[in-house]
Amino acid sequence: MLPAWVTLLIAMLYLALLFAIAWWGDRRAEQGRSIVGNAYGYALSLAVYCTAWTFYGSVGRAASEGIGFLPIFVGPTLMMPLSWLILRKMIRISKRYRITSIADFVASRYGKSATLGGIITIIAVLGGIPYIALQLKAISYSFLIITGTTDTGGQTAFYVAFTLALFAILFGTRHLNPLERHEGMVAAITFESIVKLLTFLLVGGFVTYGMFDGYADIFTRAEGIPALENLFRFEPAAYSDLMWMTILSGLVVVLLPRQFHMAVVENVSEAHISKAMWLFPLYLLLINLFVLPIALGGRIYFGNTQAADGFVLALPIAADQSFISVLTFLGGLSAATGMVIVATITLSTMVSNDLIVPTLLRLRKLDIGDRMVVPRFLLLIRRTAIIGIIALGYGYFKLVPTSYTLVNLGLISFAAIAQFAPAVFGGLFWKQATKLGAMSGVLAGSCIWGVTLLIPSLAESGWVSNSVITDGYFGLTWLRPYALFGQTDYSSLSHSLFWSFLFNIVAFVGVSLFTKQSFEEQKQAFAFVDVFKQKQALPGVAWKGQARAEDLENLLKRFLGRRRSTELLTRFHQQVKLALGTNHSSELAELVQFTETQLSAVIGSASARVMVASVVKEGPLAIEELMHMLDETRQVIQYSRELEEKSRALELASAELRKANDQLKELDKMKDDFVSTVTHELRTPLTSIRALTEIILLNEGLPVEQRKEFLQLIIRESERLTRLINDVLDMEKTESDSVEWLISEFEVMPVIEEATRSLQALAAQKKVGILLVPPEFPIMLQADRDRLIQVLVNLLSNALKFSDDTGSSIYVSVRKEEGNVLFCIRDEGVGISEEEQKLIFEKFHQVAHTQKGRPTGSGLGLAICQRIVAAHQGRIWVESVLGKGATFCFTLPIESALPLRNNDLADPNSTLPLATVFNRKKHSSLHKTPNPASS
Amino acid sequence: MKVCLGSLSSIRNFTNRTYNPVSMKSQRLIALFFFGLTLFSYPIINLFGYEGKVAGIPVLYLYIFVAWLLIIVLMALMAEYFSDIHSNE
Repeated sequence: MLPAWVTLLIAMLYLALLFAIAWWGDRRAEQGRSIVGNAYGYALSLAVYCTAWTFYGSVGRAASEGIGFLPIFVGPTLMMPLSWLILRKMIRISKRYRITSIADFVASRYGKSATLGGIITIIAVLGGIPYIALQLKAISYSFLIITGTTDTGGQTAFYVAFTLALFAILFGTRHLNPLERHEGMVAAITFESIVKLLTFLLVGGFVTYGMFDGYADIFTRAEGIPALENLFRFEPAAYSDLMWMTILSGLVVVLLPRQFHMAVVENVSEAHISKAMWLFPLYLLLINLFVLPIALGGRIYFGNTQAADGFVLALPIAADQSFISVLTFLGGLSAATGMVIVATITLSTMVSNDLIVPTLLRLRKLDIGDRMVVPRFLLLIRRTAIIGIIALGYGYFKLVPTSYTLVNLGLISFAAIAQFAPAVFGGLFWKQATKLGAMSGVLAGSCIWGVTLLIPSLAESGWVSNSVITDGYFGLTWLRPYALFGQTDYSSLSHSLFWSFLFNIVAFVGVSLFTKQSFEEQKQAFAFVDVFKQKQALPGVAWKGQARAEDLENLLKRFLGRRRSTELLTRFHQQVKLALGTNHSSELAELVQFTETQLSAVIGSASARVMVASVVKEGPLAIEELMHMLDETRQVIQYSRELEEKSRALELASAELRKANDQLKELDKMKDDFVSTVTHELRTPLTSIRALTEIILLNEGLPVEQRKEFLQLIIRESERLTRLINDVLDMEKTESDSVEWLISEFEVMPVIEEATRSLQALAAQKKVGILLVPPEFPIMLQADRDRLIQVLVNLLSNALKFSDDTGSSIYVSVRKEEGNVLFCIRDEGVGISEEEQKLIFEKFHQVAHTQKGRPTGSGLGLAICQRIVAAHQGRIWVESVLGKGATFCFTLPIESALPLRNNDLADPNSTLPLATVFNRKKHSSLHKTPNPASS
Repeated sequence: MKVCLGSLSSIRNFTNRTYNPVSMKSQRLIALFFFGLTLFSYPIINLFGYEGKVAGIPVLYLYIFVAWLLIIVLMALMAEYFSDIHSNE
């Protein structure tokens, strides 16, 4: 036992040490050498989760419920793997939009709704005050145990509460800082986390191994006590309680205002989550290692004479270990003070930013034109809120009787905070969640919470008539708070959680599905859900580009003070210059955004929106800005569309290539065929010439008649050879564009007659008539006369070749047509199929002649015609129906594009077309030889 | 054919990078979350609900602490050794 004044002195010295650490932490942060800005500091600061409730309450719970104390720590452990997805997203959002509390987070997500922020704040305060009371109660209780006094009227708790309020004011609200990080406070909390873990391990180790002989000894001895037997068994019926508690603690480890503050607002780097994800659960595991041995040891040592909540401290005192007792007392103190400090700072920020400032704004008490020094006023609000919250906690602790164990008070708080879960987690991943949905969910859930947990707890404390619990509200049995709708199987907590979550989620989802989001809500939903897809903050206030930088800067000055706002603006301008150059309009847009974000941190997002909107001209967000919001999605879609197009183009190209390849193959095959045809054609006349000459040579006594006949045959065969070779050469020449065109002006009709004449004999032989259809007036034409004859002869002999029927006719017509002369040669032969029509002018192509087996001729005639006509800028085509003859037509321009030559001399031999071609060659070679430059 | 294959693989790369919102790390952690839930779910925990001790410690407590530690160790492994992507999804 220690004298009261010594204990109080020790407690105050410890708190003084906290002040020193916090001061040191702030100093280091100002120098840029942070002591807690690392993953270990982050993990330890999360351990603010372990309060006096853990330190003293866990043992109490373990002594009465066995494994029932564990879900509160297993829940967060199970939740931690998801922190990489959930917590990281919350951090990214909060950093980008300067969100400083859970209330602001929810308000901001649902269209910066001040109402929603207010509701969340009220619930958080309602849930937070019993929890603070619980810490004070623990401090007071531990003081009683360590001093051995019975009644001090909570004096220690009062002093401690007062000191903590001072600490919170000093290190939580020293100045308005848009970053809202409190390095000194975090340093102190980190230190406290270390203290409470080490002291608990120390006292646990001492009890287990000092007072008892290790785990096995304690368990063996406990077995002998009938009251402890059920602590080792698992009752399946109790599972639903364990499950609900696990879920509850898993949710609140992120949602509790102080946890949100430590995990999100004080986070320095997202990468720290990775380490904290396993360090924090490890901390929880370690601090629970000795809970059971202490609980059992206490029961063995004290029997049922003492409340299990005090075992942690009572055991070392009973063993007369004052040093360990003092350390344990300090551990409990650190656990309690850590919670109170963070909770009051965060709750005061919420009260100020989400309750008081929006209300003042609505009441027009915080006008921009006001002379009031706003920063000081804001700080005043926060400081008053801190004192108010601690006072309320103290009042609660003084007024509510001690019948409730620590754990039950804590669980009631937890259950209130858990009502934020659907709105927060739903809002993080579900864009369609609306403000009304979130509001109705939170309200419905907390109403059920109030009805099933809060009011009955008051009834049990004697504040409300106990008949509520036994008879139900308004005397309705189906409204009994612990058996809503007559459901009695659950314990009060599971019962309350089940019904409140049911109503909460149904209202949240149902109302969201049937209400429409306002524009602001839609935008915020985008900003939150797609935060990883966006590279920068979405524009805040919808403004029309009408804003004055001066107004915005004044606004910042008003709320942040001259010095700090100048600092911020200087840094802002530097960054903007780097990023934007001298683009004035977008610099202004950035400034609007910047002002709203900075203000958000000090007066909450809803109020910041209102303030900024008051100095810029508001209007519907331009289409471009909306597009900018959707930019990422749009780019992705466009990219995929481009890809689709590209692959389609590729497919098309490859199809074309395949087609070209097929054509090439076809041509190659044609060429092969042609070569074999030509060689065959060459061999036949050669063979007959050789055979005939041999006969003449060997048979000297051959009659003259016969010899003459043979010689004639030899001439004809050699003529055929010449014709073939000429054709091939001609083809080759037109192909290589080395032909020399002899353009002259002449009348058309005589040329046609001349061409016809040369074939008359052949026609007569086949008994086919060639009929000329002369034009009404003589037509003059500029062209290569001989070439024209060649074309005509080719076409005519073609027509003749396919006119098998004796008595059929070939019609040759010519007429003038729009600067062209149109020649048509119609026969009444077999005709050409449509497929063949397309290929007929191709080189090497020969129309398959089924009746005759092999086609006759070289297959070059039409190809040569086509090239000659094309060289004259004319056109050649065929019209035909299979079985009904064919009409070959070609046009030649009246005025030739080729240079005119005054070489009008008709070749005397031109009556014979083949000889013409043959002679032409001599001519051109004659022409060429003396004048090579001309070609 | 070569052309087609090329464009296909570029589409696959593209979708991998942009459309897959959950990284390997996140997928592992989600799996671990469900694994943890299973370890502490009713029929499993009941397997150890009998009276009996291992090394002087009741089976139920031993199981809970071992399972708890297992989850922490797995998380540590994922965070420290399989953490291929740190800052991006």
